[in-house]
Amino acid sequence: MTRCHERNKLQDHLEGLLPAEERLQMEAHLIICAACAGELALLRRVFGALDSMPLLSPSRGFADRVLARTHPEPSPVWSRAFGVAFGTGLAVSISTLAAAILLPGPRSWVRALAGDAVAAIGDLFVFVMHSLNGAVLRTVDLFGAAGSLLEGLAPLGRALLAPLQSPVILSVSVAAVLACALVLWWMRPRESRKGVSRG
Amino acid sequence: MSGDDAELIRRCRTGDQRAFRELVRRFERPVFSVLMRVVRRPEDAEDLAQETFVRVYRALDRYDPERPFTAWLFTIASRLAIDHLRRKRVPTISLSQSEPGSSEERTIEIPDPGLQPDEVTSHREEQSRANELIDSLPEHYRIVVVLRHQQDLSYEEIAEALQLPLGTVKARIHRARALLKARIEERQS
Repeated sequence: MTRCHERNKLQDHLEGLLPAEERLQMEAHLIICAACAGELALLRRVFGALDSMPLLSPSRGFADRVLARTHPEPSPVWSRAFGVAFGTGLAVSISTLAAAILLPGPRSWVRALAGDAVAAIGDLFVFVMHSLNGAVLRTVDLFGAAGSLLEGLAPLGRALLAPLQSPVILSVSVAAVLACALVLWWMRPRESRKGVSRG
Repeated sequence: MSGDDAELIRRCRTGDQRAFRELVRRFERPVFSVLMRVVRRPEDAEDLAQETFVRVYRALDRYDPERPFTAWLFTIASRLAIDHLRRKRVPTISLSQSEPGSSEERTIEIPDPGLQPDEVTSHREEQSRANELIDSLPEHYRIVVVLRHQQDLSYEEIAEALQLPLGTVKARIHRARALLKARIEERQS
């Protein structure tokens, strides 16, 4: 069977892209050409399937997630203040340490200063831990029998805190706590991450 | 572009957050639908849709209001989808597939409501099969027919969005339709 040359224009005809004159010619042709008329019927079904492709919806909260990326919430003031204070303190400490190590001359004053600082921090730390220990015991005591049980554990708490009396252990502990705090601060969420939830 | 869209975009460009939220809500379904048709995985489509809107937001200052907004929007979405497919080759189903361990070809059926209306159980089923057939098109055909038929973009806008010559776009759309028609024809015979 020979292929009708008008066949190639059928898609344009369906889309209304043919010029007026060609469109009229095509309409006339379709009356006399059964092959093209059949082809057109098939193409109509193809167009129907394509035109009825449904619109799909993203999961709930999509716009919120986009906005979280384009307009991230600024971090709270206290968080920024803490960050600045922490950073400044760290910078001053490192500078002081570097100066104490690198500057020529007697360093006895640095050692004395550092010793006083470590002792003061140690005292403060032990004081805070003792206070917390006492506060917990007093609070729990209010609830009756559990209090006496924990009071029995108080010597254990004191035994655990005893090593902190040593400046070396205390210094290392404080350094570890500071390092942890630094890491946590560095890992803080800076921007709301996109999240995909199905719903 | 409707005057409403133009006003919305003008407000977005002034930094109006509510306007941008409205813009996302207005276009999230078209963008997601196109991306779903192309990449198929809902998670990937949603990630790409998010990235599309983030890029739209960042590039709003460079947007030319004389240009249709949807064409610009789908330019961004299409490029992201194409890059995604390049990075991660998504398998496409052949129009004729063989069952594992069998040499017999399996054809993807679509209903024929015009000829045998009593055999069509529901419009939903028909739509589902039609969708399956459309999804089975090669990706470079799929994206052009989706932009043309679902999003109603002109051939010129599609060519611009995909950075393809106009003739290539027309040829791909015509071939995609011919491919779909052949399947229907096959069903009839």
